Amino acid sequence: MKDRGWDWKELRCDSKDNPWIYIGLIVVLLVVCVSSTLASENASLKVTLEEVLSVGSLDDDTLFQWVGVTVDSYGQIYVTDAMDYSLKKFDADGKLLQKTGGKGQGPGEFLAPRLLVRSDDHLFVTDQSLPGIQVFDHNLKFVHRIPIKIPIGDVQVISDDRIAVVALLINQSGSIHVYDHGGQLLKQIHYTEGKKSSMMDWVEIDFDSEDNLYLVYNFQDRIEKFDVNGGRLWSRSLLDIKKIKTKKVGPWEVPDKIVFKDIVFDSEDRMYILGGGHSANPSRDVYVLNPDGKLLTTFTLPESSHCIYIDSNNFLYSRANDGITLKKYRIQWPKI
Amino acid sequence: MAKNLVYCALFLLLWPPLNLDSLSTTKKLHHSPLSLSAHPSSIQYPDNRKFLLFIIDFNDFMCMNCLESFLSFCHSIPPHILDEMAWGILVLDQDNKNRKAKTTLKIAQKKLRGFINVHRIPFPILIDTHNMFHFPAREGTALIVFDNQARSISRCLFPLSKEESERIMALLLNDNNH
Repeated sequence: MKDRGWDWKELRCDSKDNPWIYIGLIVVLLVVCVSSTLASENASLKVTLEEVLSVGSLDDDTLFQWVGVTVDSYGQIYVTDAMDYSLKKFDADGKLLQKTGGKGQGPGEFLAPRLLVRSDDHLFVTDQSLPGIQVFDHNLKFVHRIPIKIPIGDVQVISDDRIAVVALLINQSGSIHVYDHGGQLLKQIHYTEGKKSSMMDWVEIDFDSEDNLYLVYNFQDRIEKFDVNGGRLWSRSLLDIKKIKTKKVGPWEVPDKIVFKDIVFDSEDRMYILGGGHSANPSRDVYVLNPDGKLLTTFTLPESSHCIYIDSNNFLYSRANDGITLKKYRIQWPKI
Repeated sequence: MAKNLVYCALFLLLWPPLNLDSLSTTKKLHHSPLSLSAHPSSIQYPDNRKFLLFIIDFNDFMCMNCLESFLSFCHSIPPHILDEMAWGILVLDQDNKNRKAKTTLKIAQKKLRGFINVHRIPFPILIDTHNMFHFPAREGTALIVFDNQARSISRCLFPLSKEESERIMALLLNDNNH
């Protein structure tokens, strides 16, 4: 067999005989170019955060321990504050407009206000120490309480009269409950496939623009996507965690660290997942995935946060100063 | 060791310019019936009272229900008794090495201010700016009862059990009726 090496003369001669070699070479070159370009784009997808607003300073009495946040289409910010048992409303510049609540178990009162989600007309507030979900209008006027008896781990609005709830019970984890405004259970979505459920199955949830359901597990390295009928579309791990360590708390063996703390979507259906104690920067690393579960990039919040929120204009909100400050950031994606 | 801690605690409490950053009222610092002599071991008290020292773990401020037991206990004691007999020390979070100490202190001050106002805490709570109480707070928010000789006679962790709560209440009320 003749060793031709890179003999351009002979190559030209061969290719003259067979034009497919030319086409093949061009295709190979194109593939190499495109894939290397894509690879370099992914590697250089460096997202930066530009702070555009800070609500609550070290000196004022605006926020003491904010927990839940949601933002309406006017940019008005609603926050639950666990320290003073309140629900607060700020304008788009961070000026306090209204405050309601107080410690108690009556209508509009709280013992441990926590999650806050929003529909077009209403705000829904959970309380760690009280059953049900309190509903307020956007002027913070109490409307009614949705009588849900289970402790609530996470909640999302499906429509103005439907909410999805994750139970925070060991024997009822593994399913998502859909309720109407009257507290009527409409549907249950089981995501643990009949396994015996445990607190390892606790999840945070969110929906994309096509109403697909996404779960991130609090105590497992697992992210999953379900279609509107509850069929699992994909499941993946992200952090390559081999084993979740546990510790003894009273009679229970509980995981020592949270894997994922929160999941939210931007308007382009990019998924943002806040990592917990297993991340390189605990409670600060945010993983961005596309709807197929492909990791697009990772960025790091300036300070640790218990949650993240993205409004309809794709501004990101997170915690600073141990909960006395709410930061709003513009997410800056590189131009491709 | 425990005795030294008790002396240390009382010494610091009775000598406010030394270390602790007080956020709540300082009236008791000036109107205290206690007297301070040259050495803590020679402190003399005017009556047979018990004294309560609440060691508050800052991390419990970050947890919505962690201080409920503390609040329930405080609200079960008549405010005038608490006002005369109780002190609190807020022990700061030791884990956050990335943050400036000044910022940590300001965060603690603000949270403490909100906490005192919302819950109408009638006794002073001081911030342990020099980490003197990190050891007693290692297990979380705690209550130490001292007798009038500055001896620690009881120590309980929050949340208190019903028995612990009743025992401490009996200790306080009996002695204050003397």
